[in-house]
Amino acid sequence: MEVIRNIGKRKFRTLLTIFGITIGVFSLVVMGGMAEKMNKLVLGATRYLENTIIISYQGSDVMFGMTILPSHLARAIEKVPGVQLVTKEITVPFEEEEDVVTFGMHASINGISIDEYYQGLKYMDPELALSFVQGTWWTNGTRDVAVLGSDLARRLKLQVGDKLKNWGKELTVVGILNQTMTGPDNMMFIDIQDAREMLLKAQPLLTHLVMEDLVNSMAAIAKPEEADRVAKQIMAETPEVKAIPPGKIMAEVKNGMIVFNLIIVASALIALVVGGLSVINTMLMSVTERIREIGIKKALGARDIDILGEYILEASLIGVIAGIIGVGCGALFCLMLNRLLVTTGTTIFLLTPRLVIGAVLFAFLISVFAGLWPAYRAVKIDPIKALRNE
Amino acid sequence: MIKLKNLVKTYKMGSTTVKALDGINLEVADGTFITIMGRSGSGKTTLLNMIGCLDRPDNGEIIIDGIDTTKLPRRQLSKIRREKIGFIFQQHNLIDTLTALENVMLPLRYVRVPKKKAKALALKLLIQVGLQSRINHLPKQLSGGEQQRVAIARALVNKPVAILGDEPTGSIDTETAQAIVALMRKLSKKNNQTFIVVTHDPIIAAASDLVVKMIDGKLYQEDKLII
Repeated sequence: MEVIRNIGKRKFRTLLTIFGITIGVFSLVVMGGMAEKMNKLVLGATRYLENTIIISYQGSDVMFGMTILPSHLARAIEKVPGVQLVTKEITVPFEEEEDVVTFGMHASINGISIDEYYQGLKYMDPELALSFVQGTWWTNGTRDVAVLGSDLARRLKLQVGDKLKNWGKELTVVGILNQTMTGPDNMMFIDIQDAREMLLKAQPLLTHLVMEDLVNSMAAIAKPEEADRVAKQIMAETPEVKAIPPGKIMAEVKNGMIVFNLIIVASALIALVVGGLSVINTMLMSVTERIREIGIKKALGARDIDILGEYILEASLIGVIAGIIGVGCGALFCLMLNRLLVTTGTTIFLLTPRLVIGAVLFAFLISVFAGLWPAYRAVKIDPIKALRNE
Repeated sequence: MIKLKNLVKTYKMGSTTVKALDGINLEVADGTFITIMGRSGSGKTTLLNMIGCLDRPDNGEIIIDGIDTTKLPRRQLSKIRREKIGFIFQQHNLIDTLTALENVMLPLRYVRVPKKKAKALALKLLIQVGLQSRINHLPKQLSGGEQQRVAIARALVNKPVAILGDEPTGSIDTETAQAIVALMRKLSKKNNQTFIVVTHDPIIAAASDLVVKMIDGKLYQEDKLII
């Protein structure tokens, strides 16, 4: 009670200090929420890719553009020892006029062979298998059907049985996926032959090529521990392709994420450190105003640790209050913005327990740290001088 | 028993050295109510600070309950303060964010008495000083006399060997001062506790077992230097 009364004694000053820390925690939650969302996307992708060797044509750059591959190469790659399966996809942008800059991934159309998908399940972590809110996958040979990712379905307000038109084709929705918080949420899966026709609409230049044999995404599945060796062997046996093992892709993505996380979290931490400085200022003023009180307590036999503890408790209470308010405001902001962005099929923020607990804990720790110097000053006060203080 | 042997304390004030205590000797038996009188600057408060372990002498011994406090490290001095000394100040010096009851409980917090027991002890003393109806009041809601009663209860709550008063009636009216002196006297006799009070107030002097005078850092009893 004494601590609450002490910090309530100078209400306006305490409120300003709490406000300073709150802003820091708020930015940590918002920025951290953004980083968590990105991390989740990347983690999902890296888990999905851990046994995947990405195949591209020599000279193309799979990381920064689409590759074009004749699908007969898959048959040659399948013969390489260690290759369990070669998957082929045709990816087409969902938006016919893509002029919107979005956070995360653009919506895409993924043309797959349903047989290949079921074969791939044998080599996939069961946790990563896609599940459905409504409907299911189409059967082999069925055309003009689509399975929608959760964000895309929500954005388009479509349900199983509804129809949509895209790149000149009319498709019937046969399934809507559960939310994964990763890439598939913003994807539409269709039969690879439908996708091939749509690709021709999207990139008319390709009509000059023999379309029946072309795909724009190919991957070989191998055991993660054999992936490096298998990738080398694929390149040795089919010199016209480049095989990128999962380790290399993951390392590049992770490096990128480290820099991204550092920039985002550091900017939030700067705000929080500024808040910490206001705690130091408040606590130093409090010590100066309460010199006589400290003298009285020392005269009554208070130990150094009693005085130290009292001031650190006050500082940490400021931190915890500000931390809770900051997390509350930050979470509200993130949820509101996510809700607003549902219509665009993009969620920017992901609030995780580690982010919420970490933000409050960090506000608490920074306040304790900020309270140390003023508390030490209080401990060092000479009781006789303090008692003389008016 | 409190014994002071040849206490010396000097202060530097610019280039001059001031002898605040100049060979103080005194023996005070348990349960004695002693008044130290003297003009401002004669060294009374300095002496009280020495006995209260708030300051150290340059020379001499201060023996409280058989312990020579001049030989103790800083931490031990704080232990003596919380276990053997009670302070009553002129300005009451109550903590303004604590209620009367919490102010009295404060010294017990430092000797780690459980809260429930501390509350009972503090309440008992507040009843003894006649403040049972004011226990939940903050200092600013109490009169000067009531605040000084709370200060007395706080000084007594940890059952100290010695209670040191620095002008305890200095900021209250005569009538209240008489009541406060009578209360201190009563408690001193009842609990066999030593009161050492520094004052200009003749009311306190008249009620004391022993009156000594401080002149230029030396202590006199009935105009004779105490050796």
